[in-house]
Amino acid sequence: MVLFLARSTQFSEAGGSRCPTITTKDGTEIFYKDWGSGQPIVVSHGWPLSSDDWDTQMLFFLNRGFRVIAYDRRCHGRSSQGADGRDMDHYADDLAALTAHLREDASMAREATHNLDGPLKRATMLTTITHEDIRDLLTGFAAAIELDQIRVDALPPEKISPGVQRQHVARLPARSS
Amino acid sequence: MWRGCRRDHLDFINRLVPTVNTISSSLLQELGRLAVTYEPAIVREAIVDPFADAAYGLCPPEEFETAAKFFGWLIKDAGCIAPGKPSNRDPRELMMQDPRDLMRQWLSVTDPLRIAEDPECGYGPPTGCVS
Repeated sequence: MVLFLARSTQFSEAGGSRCPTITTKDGTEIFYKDWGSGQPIVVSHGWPLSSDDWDTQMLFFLNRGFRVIAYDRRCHGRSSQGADGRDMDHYADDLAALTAHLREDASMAREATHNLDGPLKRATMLTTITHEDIRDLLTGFAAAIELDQIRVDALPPEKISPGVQRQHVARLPARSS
Repeated sequence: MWRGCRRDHLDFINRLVPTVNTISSSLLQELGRLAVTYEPAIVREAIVDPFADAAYGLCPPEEFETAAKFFGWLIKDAGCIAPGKPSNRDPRELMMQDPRDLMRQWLSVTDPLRIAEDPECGYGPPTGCVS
């Protein structure tokens, strides 16, 4: 419940209209725009700009049926101002929190960046796996197959159907007397 | 027959493992996205048949000769199997999960080749089967 509240959408008064914000876990309020519907595109501005710098591109894609989302980085634009958290780790966490909040279909999100490698790279890393993970997956699969064979070898004959049993018995190594 | 089936799969996996480093970083990212986007059961469904085809030599050897080619195919095939909304789970919930944990669910721990599901196989899945 606490997590939900921390990520819930609020509305702030900006320019006379109600604009949505999210509040991150450290209490920072992040302003964002979420226009249209359809396949989403998330854009992220660089220093020292704000989401407004994407308006032209957002309108372009909006008019072509996309859902476009832009946000003000913390300490930028209409998001919370402060001395803390002006680093890529925080920016990345904010972007991850925003996309997690908004994303209704993770596979369809497209991301664009504007002079801002850090947060997007970090956000992508959240879903990146390594060669070692793949190696673990394959070796784990091999281990499961070997264990399955051991399990079947240990089954009593009555548990094995006649056809399989014939093969099973035929493949058992001959015992030396 | 089933023993041979398992052996063929093990041989294929043993051929793939040394080629894991051929997987590009972009493909790794795609696999991560696949993990957090699709239900593990959907990927599990998609992964078993090509494993069998490759293990039995039913497809051209060059098609799945490296881990990069095999998992590259998986990325394409999972998209074909479940276009549109890929997961029934709350996407926010999926996004909050570690992709490594989700990826481990791609393969069944017990009866990984689904041999026990074959009607010709009489012994059935083990008690307390986990997938």
